[in-house]
Amino acid sequence: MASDQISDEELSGPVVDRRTTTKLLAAAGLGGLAGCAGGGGGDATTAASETSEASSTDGNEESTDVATDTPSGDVRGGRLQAGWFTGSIDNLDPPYIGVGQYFQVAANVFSGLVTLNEDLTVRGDLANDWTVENDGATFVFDLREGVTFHDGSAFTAEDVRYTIDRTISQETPAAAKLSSLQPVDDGGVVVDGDYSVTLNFEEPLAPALIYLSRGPGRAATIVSQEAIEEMGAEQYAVEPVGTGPFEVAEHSVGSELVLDAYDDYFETDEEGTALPYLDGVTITPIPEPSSIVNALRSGDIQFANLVPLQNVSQVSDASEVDLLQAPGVNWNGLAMNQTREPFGSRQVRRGIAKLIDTEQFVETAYFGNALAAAGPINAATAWVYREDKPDDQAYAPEEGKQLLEDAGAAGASFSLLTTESDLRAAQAMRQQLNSAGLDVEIEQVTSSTYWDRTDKSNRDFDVTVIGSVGDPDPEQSLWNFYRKDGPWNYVDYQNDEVHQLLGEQRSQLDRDARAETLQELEGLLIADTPHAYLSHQDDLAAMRTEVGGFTHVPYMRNFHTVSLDE
Amino acid sequence: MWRYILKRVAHSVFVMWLVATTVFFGLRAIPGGPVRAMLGQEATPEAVAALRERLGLDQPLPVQYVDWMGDMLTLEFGRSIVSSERVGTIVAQAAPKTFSIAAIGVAIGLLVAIPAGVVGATRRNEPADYAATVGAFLGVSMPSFFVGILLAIVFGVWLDWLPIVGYTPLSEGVVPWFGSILLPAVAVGLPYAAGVTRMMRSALLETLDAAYMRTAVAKGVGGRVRLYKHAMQNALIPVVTVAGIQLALVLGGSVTVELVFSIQGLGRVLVNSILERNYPVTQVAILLVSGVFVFMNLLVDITYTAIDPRIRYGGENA
Repeated sequence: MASDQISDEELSGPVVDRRTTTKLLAAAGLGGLAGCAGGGGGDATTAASETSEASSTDGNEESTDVATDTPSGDVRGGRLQAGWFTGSIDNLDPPYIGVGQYFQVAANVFSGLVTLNEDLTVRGDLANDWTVENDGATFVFDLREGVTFHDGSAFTAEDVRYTIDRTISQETPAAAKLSSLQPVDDGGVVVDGDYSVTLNFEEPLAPALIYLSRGPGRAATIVSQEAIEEMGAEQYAVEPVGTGPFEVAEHSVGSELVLDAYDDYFETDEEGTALPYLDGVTITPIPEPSSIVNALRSGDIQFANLVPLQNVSQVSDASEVDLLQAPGVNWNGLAMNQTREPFGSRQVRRGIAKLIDTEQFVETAYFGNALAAAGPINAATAWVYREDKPDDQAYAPEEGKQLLEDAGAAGASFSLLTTESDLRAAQAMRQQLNSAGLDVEIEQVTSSTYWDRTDKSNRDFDVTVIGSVGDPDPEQSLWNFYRKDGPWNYVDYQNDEVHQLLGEQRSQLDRDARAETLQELEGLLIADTPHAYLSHQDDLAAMRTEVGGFTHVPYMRNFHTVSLDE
Repeated sequence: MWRYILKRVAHSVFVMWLVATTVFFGLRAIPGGPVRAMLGQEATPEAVAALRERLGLDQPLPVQYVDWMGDMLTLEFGRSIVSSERVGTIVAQAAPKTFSIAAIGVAIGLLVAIPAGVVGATRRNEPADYAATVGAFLGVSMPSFFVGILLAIVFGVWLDWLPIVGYTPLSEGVVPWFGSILLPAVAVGLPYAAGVTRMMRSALLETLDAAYMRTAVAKGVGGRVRLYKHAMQNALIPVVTVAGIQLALVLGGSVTVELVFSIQGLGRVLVNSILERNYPVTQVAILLVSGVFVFMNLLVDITYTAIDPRIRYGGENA
């Protein structure tokens, strides 16, 4: 790769070759994923394994084995029993989905304009072909003909316009991803006949194609206007109609979601056999950690979308169960509310960060199933990740205590807000801070109270452990957390330079230039310490040995190529 | 007797109204609202305001209360705030599961408890009594949740005899239905049995020591008749009381057992809806559960009149 500048020509469809895709994904922050699922264990996987003393390497090997395990001959048939580690799957309407576990399901029911391949090349999903014009600000999509929704109605360019218009005009949570799109009715989305559609952005948007993909790109995952109007948006959120490999046959929220193979699904495998191979997938929500592991061991379920961290060893020890492990595309940190004293002082925040032994924290809080973090950019995004991050937050307890003492904050007492799901992390944090002489108390609340208290309009907390749960591109969470008016700016972080760099990186199509900007940005964040950066959690799933053909794209659970061996 | 029953019914209706009102205001006094829980991290203030308006949460509390009371009386239960399903549907789907578990659990519990209690009392201080007492002691000290996990590991993972995930409706056959609720039913039934066993044993011991039992022996009543007619009938009154009150244990236990066996019954619906501040669901679910309790207590009261003439006749004068 002599030049990392992606030309319009290289970006155009129908299939972006692997080399360009790697660059493209890299520009979008998915470079690590391309290496990871490529079968051979690319740079990113290696980097991740090397830095993770705790993460089991055979987990990584297993996942790559599975990725190359393509079924042959008459493998069609069977119904996969899957367990979802949640109380219920409440919403499957793509732009409204705010929970990763829900869009893991939705990505099996819906299609995007583009999608990521097994080897993470970008290819058309509902788009056959596309061209990129205007230095990356204009995308012209040539759409697949003959695609139908699960209710039999035909998919056309008008559905793309409707979907994008709906995402934006209804102010859905996903609308932010399309914030730089021109007004939909005024050049933003131009429909030209049934099978051509053009998107015009105000300025080049580096991660645009990724935001238009199925899965992470919830903003333009194609919904059916007819179905929404017929059954009402409320019902659509429970039993949606899409163009994806599986259709919703029955959904009893909290009990069972029955997906049947959609017979007219447009995609086939390399030999021309219709996908999906399975007859269907039955998803049962199982919120109790020991239950999901027992169910997997007993064979009541064959696939678990998440493995509770405290049960990882039980799963790796079970003979008929394989653990799927991939580096997580996420980060979290100790957020310190700058509207409360003493956290308004950068010296105090940095002092606290220096008291935290992140390696120890990861062991205690996540049973070692995470990487210690020095900054918000994770190792999976290898194109922008670096080992030698600035050490302003590095563990140095004596130095940290000195900083706090100089700032008059030695022995400060404050409370650590947490929900039950993060309680263990909170306890590990309290233990470390208290043994360094601070006086920290844990305040545990329910999640609804939590969001209320941390909300920008209240900011009613001292510190809390929070971060991004799954952003394949670092820009997405950084954009939301650290712009002055960012929706997740709970700590009231105001930095002109960071704000401006966030805008700048969005328009940089050149990967190196963008990486440089993002690293400069990360450096500022580490020094300023709005968060004391703690960890990147691994992405863990598990399945029984009879399940084949599953490709573990971090954070995704796509079943269209899955088959069952007897 | 009819006046007594009528009084109990009127009393029950009043209790239900009190529960409804307490639940309505109590829920809203808990910090945190449904809107933030729904929209999560990505919510904008505009979206929050719009949703509050759509859900009617921007109205003053008394107005919401009057609207809601009207809806309840016309059986208009509304929709879940989180999943937009009809509350009636959610509760109607959840209730049979919980009631199946509870009914089988109580049946198992009584089948174990009454004989165990009788054995304990009639073979006092013999090995059988010790076994029953130790068993009951274990049952009382192990919560349903723990029993459920043990059962799941033994009968699901090790022996692989019974499913440990989900519920099969009765419409798909009696055997699959029974198989899917047997373990949860045992898990709630055992702690229930333990309480009833202890009560049965001590009540029967007390009556066996009573003066009229000696009279019965003196006038030559046979052992079997003495035990089952004279002693049991009197001993059963406190047992019925305890069996009724302990139903709370069964329904309470089913909350955690439903979690262990991944069954979306009333207990799980209730807990989730409270955590999510899903007011419409919580209110109806609590009303249903408390309705069942009130009804069972009413039934217990009426049962007294059948087994104890003193209450029957006393009630006429009340």
